[in-house]
Amino acid sequence: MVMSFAALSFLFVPLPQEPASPAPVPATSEVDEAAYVAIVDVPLPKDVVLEVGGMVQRGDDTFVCTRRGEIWRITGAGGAEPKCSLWADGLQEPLGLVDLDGWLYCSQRGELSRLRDADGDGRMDQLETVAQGWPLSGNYHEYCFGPTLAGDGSLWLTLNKPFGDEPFGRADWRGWAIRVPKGGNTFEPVCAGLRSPAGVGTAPDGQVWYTDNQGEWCAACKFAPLEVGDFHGHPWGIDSCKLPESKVPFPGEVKSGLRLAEAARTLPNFRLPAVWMPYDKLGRSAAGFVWDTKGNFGPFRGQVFCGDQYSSEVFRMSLEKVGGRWQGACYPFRRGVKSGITRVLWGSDGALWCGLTNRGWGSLGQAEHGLQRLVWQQKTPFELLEVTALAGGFRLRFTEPVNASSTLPVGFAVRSYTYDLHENYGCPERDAKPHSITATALSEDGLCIDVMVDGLEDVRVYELSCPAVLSASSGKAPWHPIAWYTRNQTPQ
Amino acid sequence: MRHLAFAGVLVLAVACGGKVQEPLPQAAKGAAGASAPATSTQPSVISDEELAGELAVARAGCARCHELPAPAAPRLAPLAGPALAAAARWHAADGGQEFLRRHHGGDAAPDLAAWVRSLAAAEPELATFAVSPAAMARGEVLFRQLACQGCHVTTELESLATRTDVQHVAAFLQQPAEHRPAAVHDFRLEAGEANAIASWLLRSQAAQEATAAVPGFAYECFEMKIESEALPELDGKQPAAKGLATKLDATVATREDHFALRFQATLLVPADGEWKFTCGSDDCSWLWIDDELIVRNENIGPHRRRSGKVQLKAGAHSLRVVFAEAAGQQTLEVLWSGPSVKEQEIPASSASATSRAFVPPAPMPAPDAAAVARGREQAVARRCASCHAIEGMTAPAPAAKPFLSLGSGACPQVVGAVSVQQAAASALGKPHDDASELRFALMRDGCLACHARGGVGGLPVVVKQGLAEVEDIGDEGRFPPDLSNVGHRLRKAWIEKVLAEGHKARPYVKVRMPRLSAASARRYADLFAAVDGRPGDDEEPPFSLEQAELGRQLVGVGGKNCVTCHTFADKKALGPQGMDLGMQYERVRPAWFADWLLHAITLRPGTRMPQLWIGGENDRHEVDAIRTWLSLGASAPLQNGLATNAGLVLEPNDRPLLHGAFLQGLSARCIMVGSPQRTHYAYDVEHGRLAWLWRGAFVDASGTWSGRAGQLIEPKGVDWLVLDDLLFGEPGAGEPKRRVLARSMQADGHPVFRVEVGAAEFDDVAVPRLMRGGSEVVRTLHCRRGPLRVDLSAQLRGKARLTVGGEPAAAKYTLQAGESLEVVYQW
Repeated sequence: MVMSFAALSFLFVPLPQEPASPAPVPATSEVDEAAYVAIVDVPLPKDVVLEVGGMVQRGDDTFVCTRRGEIWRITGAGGAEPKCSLWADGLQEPLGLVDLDGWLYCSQRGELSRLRDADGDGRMDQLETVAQGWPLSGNYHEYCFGPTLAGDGSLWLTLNKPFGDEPFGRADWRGWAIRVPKGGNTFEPVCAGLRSPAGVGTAPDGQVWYTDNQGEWCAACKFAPLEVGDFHGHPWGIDSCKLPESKVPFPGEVKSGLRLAEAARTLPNFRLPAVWMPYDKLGRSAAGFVWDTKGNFGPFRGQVFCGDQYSSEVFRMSLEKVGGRWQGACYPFRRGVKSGITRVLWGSDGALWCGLTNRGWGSLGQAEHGLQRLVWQQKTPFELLEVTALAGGFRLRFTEPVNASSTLPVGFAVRSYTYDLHENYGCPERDAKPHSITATALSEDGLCIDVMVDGLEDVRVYELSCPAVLSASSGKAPWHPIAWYTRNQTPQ
Repeated sequence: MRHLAFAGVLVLAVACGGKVQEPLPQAAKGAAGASAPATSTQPSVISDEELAGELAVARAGCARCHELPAPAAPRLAPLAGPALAAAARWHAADGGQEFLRRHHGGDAAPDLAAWVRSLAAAEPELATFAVSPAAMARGEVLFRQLACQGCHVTTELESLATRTDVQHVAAFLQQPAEHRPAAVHDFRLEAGEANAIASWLLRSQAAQEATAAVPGFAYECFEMKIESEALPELDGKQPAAKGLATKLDATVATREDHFALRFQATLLVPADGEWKFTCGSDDCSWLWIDDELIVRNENIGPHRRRSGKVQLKAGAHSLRVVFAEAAGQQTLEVLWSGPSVKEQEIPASSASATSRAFVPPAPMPAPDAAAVARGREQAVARRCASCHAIEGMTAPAPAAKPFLSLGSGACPQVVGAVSVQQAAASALGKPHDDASELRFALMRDGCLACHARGGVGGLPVVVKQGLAEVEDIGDEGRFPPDLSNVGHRLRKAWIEKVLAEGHKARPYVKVRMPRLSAASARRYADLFAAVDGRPGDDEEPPFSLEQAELGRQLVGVGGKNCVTCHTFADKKALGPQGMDLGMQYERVRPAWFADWLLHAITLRPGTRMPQLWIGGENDRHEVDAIRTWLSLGASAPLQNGLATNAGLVLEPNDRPLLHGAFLQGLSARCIMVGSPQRTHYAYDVEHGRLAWLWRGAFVDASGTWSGRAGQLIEPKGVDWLVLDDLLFGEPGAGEPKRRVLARSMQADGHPVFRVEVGAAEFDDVAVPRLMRGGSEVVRTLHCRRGPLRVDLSAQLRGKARLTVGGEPAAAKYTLQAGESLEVVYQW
């Protein structure tokens, strides 16, 4: 008999799944991963329950806001004996934290607040409501994620849609992204059609992005930029488009069952995500993410690292702009974190701090909450670094020169699929098919392989695996020889 | 059945004969100081023989035929007889002939029995029942723990097996008065308990070999220290209780902490395929299918779910679940899902425990019509309808002589009536004082079978030996309480509450108090107070906050360490879980409270209550301080050393504690503020409104902090008050828009809400304050931008008393910038 834990993903209720098509996910053991990225636990007293909603660091202090409505100050969290003190309580499920102008900004379910310890006694004594006015129906699923500080100084929040009873009545602006202009105290509803936008963050260029979680009208977890006026596909809150404050034009009736390409063609302002994460192959519940701008993780500088609340792993994404729109690929990176990851933060030590909780959903990591750090071991693995789109195929860039004899077309496998935009929970791969490789070409520096593929179409996800490619120097296969590229457009 | 209780009471009356007095123990007299026994206004001496005679008159229902002297008439009002239709089902062996011969006499018994059987046509027939061995075992434990043998002779009860079936006995046990109006002891049994006891009583009906399946889960509860998350070793251990559960949850546990439950059943799997099992528990749980471990949820902490999957064929599989609880809250849920079954709790209908068939005696052949007709004639002649409700038969008005003028002739109705008449005659004419009334009532209701009073009564030693000690607090933790001087010791209202509502001051005593009617409870409370009460019983010590604080310290660790053995409200004691201190102000009269604390060992030799003071009356101020602290009731601040609640029950200790939550009827943006003064409030941030006040326990955060949370918290608990909203509108204008702009924290940890209302702005802060008898809340509205018009009208119509500056609050106030309004809420 098989013993397994069926855990559910963060921020959604799963319905029975159609069987996933078999995927040639090559196995990279956690031992292999640990050789390059160590997971280090932050030891916490037993009575400190850090069901993490947000994290910031100020010097040696790490501030953590929790789903219990508390903010803890942890001094020396990177050391052997961190000291924890309760800094604030009585908040309503704060799910993000930003340090700005001497204040800690955090979301609560019904407001954006800023807090500080004015008298310096170690406890918060001033809380000001920066913005409020988005109603709550009293449904547990109406989480408010964020804020994140955009390039223009505005603060962005994402508002979850309800799931079940609404004891105080249906509320406007659910499934929306909203922003509070710099210095302002009102909010602007800027994007609609979100489902369970558990991660919201800002790219180095100041653009705000978000992750959404698979469910109804959201075929799989996804990663998308939030641009004013966009509709992301979930029709729950689109009636709010008719309110005068809305920045999103009413998209009209959204019919269930449109193939993605058709939806993109016919729905006004419909925005395709930059990256679809293959459900159950790379997590089930995408949450917080950060860009590695400093090269903390060696060769992956410039890429995005995202935590998954179910699979307790951090995966990696690369992005490129094609036809003026972002698209890109996602890759495995590090599994084995002890609980579901809600938030990730670059610590002052250069490690990736993971804020954890699995309450209500469960996770592959069996701990209920906590903090762990992913520490780069200063060694570069032979790895598929980045996939970019070519007119007739894909360019696969590696971290080290590859052995030319391992680049024959037969050593690659490419298959693709698309999704439907529909009211059912999640979506199995639609129109899945293998592609034949027509040619491969190795670049002069040995780092890139151009893989030319037959029958390419846009608005599909391409699963590329390259287990046969070997490092020229070590002879090793890639650390994780697989990527999923979301090809919305073909470069000209 | 009637003769059983009848026999018991008569035995009791004889046992108590001649000795029912309530002398004060010498020690109590000395210790009580100024208190002196109350003098009786009607010192009529009624002997115990006379009382026993009166009791017999009441039992026999003499008043149905004979006029009784006026003073005795209410006391001796006849009790209704059992319903005859059902009675036939209690005498399956001989149709009731033997019973009728013994109790109603004469050769008419066979005919009467035939007639009674003819009445039973609509009653359920005796039937075979499937009973699990576990239920039988549970019945044995209950039979012992309820001290049934205090009244009943076991061999008499065992004869039930030859006369009726499990169903009839269980139905009677659950609703005794419905089946027999004169039944005095209703133990508020649940269906499972009644079934268990019935199956134990009728165990000789159990078929030797025959087994059958009954829906449900056989369970065993083991009382044992749980200190780790490891699977407890249960094999070879003696369970404290066992039985059949209809649900896989923790409610069958015999105590709240440190126990393990083991459930076993045959699981009926409806279809082939992959089955998922989930155990959610606080603390640990394990689940096996066919002896293979499927779910391991080792978790000392809040409720957590773990799941496992297994391929199963349709059909029967063995299911075993073990649950272990260390301390704090205890919850268990076991769910399954599989082919065509959505995730749900495993229903009892999908599980079965092994059982045995209980075969009732064979039913009598249908009665002969002629015998029925003769029996009916006899019933009319004997006026059976005067005691029994019989359809189509009315009892003629009493036509017999007045009771006191009866001669020594035999009564045609009642066997042995002559002795009854003689015993009662001398007492009937005399006025009874309260003490005699009380003695009569205690005998009539069988109270002294369990309770001692003045050295008389109480359970036989052999029955006492069967009573389990749940907490290590000696005899006071096992036996029904001694009723000596109870009216001097306990408040009248408390006695009435205990008798009417069955309030359990001693949760660790497994013997149960039967239910009394409201009228009876009031009568007893009055009689105890009149007979036992003394002048000065209710003189409370003077109140001051300093005394209350001294009392708080004395009760805690480092003081007199009362919390070592006493619980306090919802808080556990550190050692044995003795009687709740939080109820003592409401329960114990102040004079006895002081005497008891100062002289417990002298007043009740053998008590576990230690001698805590040696200075006698010189230490009185400390005892008074404890009383003063207790007088704060639900708002009494917690003392040092109380065990903290595990799980998600929040308790403010040294500073206020804030909890953001969804509150029923308010909004999804509320903050509950708990204070060490155990006086709490809720602020609705969405509407800028102080909305709830309450005392005692603060909040169980499970609704917000467990699972996916988002539960609406409802007002409940102690002294909960929902306040109407303040209004701020101009006369004639609508209410201006209101928004909470900020909350700063005062140095004392209370939040100050800054509220914008139209063009005005004010600070709103509420702080609880202790006062005589409890607590009040002081709310300050400070105007930052005026003018601020405050309209208290709606609140003034509510339950709280509002004062401003010591005077009743006015309906309306106008504040300019910088001005404050302090409103005190008492409720």
